[in-house]
Amino acid sequence: MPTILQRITAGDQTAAEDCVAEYGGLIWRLARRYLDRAESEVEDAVQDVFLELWIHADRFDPSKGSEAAFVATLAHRRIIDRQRKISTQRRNEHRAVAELKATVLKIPNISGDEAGIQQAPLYRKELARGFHELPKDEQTALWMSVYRGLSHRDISEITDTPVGTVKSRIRRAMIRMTKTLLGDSTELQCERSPS
Amino acid sequence: MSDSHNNAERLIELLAAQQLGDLSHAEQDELTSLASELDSLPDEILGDLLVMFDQHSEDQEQLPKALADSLSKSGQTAIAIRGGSGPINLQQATAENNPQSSESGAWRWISVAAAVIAIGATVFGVSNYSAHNQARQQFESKLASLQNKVTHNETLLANSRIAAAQAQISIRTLEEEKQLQATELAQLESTKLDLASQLAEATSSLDNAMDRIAVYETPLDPAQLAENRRQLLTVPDTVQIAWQPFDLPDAPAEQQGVQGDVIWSDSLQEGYIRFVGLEPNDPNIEQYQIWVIDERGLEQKVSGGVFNASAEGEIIVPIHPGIDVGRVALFAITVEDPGGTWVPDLSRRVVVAPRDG
Repeated sequence: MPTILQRITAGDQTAAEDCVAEYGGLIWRLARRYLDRAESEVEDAVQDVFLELWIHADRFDPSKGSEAAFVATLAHRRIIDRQRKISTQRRNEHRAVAELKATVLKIPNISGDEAGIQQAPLYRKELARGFHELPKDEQTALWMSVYRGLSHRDISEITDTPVGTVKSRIRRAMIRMTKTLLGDSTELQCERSPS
Repeated sequence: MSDSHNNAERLIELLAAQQLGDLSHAEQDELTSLASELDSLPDEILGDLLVMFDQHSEDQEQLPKALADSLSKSGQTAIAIRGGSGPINLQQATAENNPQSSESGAWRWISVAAAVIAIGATVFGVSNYSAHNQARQQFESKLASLQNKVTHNETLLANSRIAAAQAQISIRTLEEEKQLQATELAQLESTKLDLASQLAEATSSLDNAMDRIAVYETPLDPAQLAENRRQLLTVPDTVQIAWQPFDLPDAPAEQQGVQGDVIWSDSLQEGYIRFVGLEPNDPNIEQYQIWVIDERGLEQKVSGGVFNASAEGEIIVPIHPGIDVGRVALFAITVEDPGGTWVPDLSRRVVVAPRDG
């Protein structure tokens, strides 16, 4: 049974509607979070992402991960590009730090024991467990960076922490999560001075 | 940039092998070293993290219906264009008009720029953190702006290509319609020709018929007819029979006292009838019709033509049987509707001339 992107690569036109139905919500929400709900920008961004999906559907390689993860990564990259373009002009209009604080700091409890996660692709369960086991400040920094697409500088402002500390928290979070994936037996150098 | 990407790919490969418990010592060391050098999340981990966070998010807003519909539509078009043959070739559509905007060219340029900027930053600012940082920020912003340009161009190109494809589809549809109309037109033309040829045929048969009718209707020169008749009388097998009233036992003929005779040659299938005292007829109401009956009996009546008695005195009329008759047994004259009839009912009989009677 070919995946949606494989059907697109094969020229199956009915795959377009399925692709929008399956990943439209994920991409829409990602764009809204990253672009702070500037509606016209969000719509343009979603269109960009789908355009790239139609063009580059053949780049999806099922041996390297799930299709959803591929789509999410592609969307992330596209939307971050757009965010960088507009953030300098609109940061002050759209990003009131106080408003962001209220929404950004609500992190759901992810433990890896949730229903449905057992069937999730390769690393999802380990990822959830890894995230769950992160120290709170690292969890927050990673969440804001990945979930909200916030820059180190934004995170620094919201959490009232120096930018260097934010960077090292995210780095440590990444290494710890990778360590979870590697298994606890591997010793990793978690403490590194910020570069 | 490409180094860190390759590292991430290698990391995922090693992670997968480790999950399967399939890792040598050397690979374990490589994994450890790669993981400690991470400075951004590998794509595959980032993707899974994004999906996981999204699934656990309170925000589960869906794509607006109108946007979803328009995305599906443009997706169908885009898939139709790529037609199951690898990635859409943006260069193919635009290379001639805009050779500098090819995607891979721009990315190659960015890579070169990145390398140059990175090397520059390393040479001049390796010991100076802030200078290095500044160079890095400059590089990042330059990279971002180039990436934006590339994205923008890609979007423009893809949109133009979609528009071009749609225009092509419209043109094809119009051409098909045009062809269909041409075919219909050709069919109509051929029907017209058919009808014209049928009309010509009908006209020609009508002309023939008119000619034949004219033979009967045109009054022939009486002197010529008399001469022709005289000549026929010299043919050895020509018989000459006098008319008598066509009386039936209890129904006398319409006209009594008609004089005259019929001469006929079986070998030439030609003959003349001659009358004196035949009542003139009005051709619009009725005509005289000649009947030739051969030896097979009264059932074999062959029309010898119609004629009018328009003048007083002697009338001579040639006999033209529609078909060959055998040895003639009897001639008869009846009165019929204008143009004559195929099958006489013998209700209006005038004269009869039995050959052996």
